[in-house]
Amino acid sequence: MGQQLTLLISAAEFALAGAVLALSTYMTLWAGLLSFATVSFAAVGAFFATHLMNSAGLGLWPALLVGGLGGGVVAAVTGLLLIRLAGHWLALATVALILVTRVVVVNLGGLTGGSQGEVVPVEVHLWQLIVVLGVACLILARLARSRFGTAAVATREDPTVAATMGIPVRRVQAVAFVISGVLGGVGGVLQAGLLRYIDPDSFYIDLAVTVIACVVLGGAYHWFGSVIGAVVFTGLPVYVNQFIGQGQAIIDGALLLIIMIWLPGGLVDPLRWRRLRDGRRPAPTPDKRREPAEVNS
Amino acid sequence: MSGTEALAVDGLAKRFGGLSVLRSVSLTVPRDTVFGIAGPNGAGKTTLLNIISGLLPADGGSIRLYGDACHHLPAQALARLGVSRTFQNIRLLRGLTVVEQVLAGTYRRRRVGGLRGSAGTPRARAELRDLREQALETLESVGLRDAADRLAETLSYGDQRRLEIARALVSRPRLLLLDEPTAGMNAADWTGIGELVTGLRESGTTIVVVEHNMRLIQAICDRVAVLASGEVIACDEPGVCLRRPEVRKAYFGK
Repeated sequence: MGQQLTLLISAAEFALAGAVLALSTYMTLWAGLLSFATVSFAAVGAFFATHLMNSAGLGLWPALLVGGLGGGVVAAVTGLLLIRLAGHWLALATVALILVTRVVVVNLGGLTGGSQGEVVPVEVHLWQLIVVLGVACLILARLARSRFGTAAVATREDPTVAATMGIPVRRVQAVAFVISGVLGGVGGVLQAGLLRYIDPDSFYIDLAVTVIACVVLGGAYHWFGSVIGAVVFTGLPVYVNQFIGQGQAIIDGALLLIIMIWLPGGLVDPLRWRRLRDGRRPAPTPDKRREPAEVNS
Repeated sequence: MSGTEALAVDGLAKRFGGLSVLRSVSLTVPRDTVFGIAGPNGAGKTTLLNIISGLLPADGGSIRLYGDACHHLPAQALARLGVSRTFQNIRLLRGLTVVEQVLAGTYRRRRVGGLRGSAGTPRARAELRDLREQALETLESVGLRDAADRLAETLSYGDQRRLEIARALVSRPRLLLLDEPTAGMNAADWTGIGELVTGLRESGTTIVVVEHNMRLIQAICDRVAVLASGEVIACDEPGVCLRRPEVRKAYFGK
């Protein structure tokens, strides 16, 4: 029983850290940018913070701060160059960014431990993960109701219309990219604290695929979708692994197919709920409603 | 002259590759009027509107908005100067309800932004309540208040056009550009739009409307410019303009 509990907690921990990374990717999608750069931000945050934990004896909270700052700065710099790229070109460029990050990590041995990797001296506990994810969710929920939230949705759905409404499209995307960088950096530090050992492979393409799966299959039109997606695609595999070992990949694949076919908007899909709600509601009688406008021709 | 004109376009030119879409287009829109732009398909009407609203850069010529040169400004800057528009193919934002669409149009009037706005302060909440009320009033004026909480995509075609106009109106534009607001509508619907537009002029909005429907143009426009092959071939009161032989030739081929 004790072992079951340990496994459950471990699964929950990875789900929570995964959720922070998923929220980082959600931030960019919110403003209409398909970006895999979360993995690069996470790598920068993780290696930067781990180096300072090892050399300067940083604790977890200052390490999270440093990681978030590192991710944010990298996002600001790369964002300036990348955001102007349209659609799939941006996605490709961010994949390239992940490759470049890996090369840098391998070759900056003094700072990152190179291909040997580095031991992470500070452990992350469940309650700390809950606190960090809670704060992240609170910020996103607030943002969703703010002027920025409106601007981001308009930018995602139709940048041309957004511009004619006075929304500074590029600036909205840049802000989203930087927030994504901060969340990515923080998520990277959390991930490092769970893994307790990081090397260049800890933050590579496979993580990018997992994170984007969490966001898109969890539901890309509400921040909560990313959290649910992370539970299903990072937490569940950790727990299920004990029963079926490698067979877990089959479950993942089946889940992917089921969601893509029957829930194309993801697990959390506000648009689908709204459509269902509108479908149940009787349509207002149009004749009555139009009366004043249709008096004569 | 700049005291009475809302919009002055002078010598505007636009080429797409080897194709000259606009050749030296000049026109003046007086304040508080409804100004029509007519012309056969491919005359350059929508291109002209896209340049005026900042979505396309012009290759030559100048535009003045209430006396200020503005042809170098992007769409978002022009929106802040009070230019608002609708689109020929209705462009609503997917997934939003009717009132949310209109609320999105209030963006440039929201003052509490950044961290204060996202912190949910009483001021931010009060502002949002206030703007929502204004959005509902705007919906009332286009006859859509009862549909406020429905998904915009469930509205009929004519109502979606009205909604797009409401979204443009809620920003309280000084210059409203309507791109074929009655395209694909039946007679009952377009007369409704006509009444809406004349009502707006009474309330002090200058309106430029691109339109094919000559009966509507005669009913609502104070002046109309007829474009053909990228040039203004006539600009006058609608009744006078549409009787001109060159206009009849452009439209009917004789």
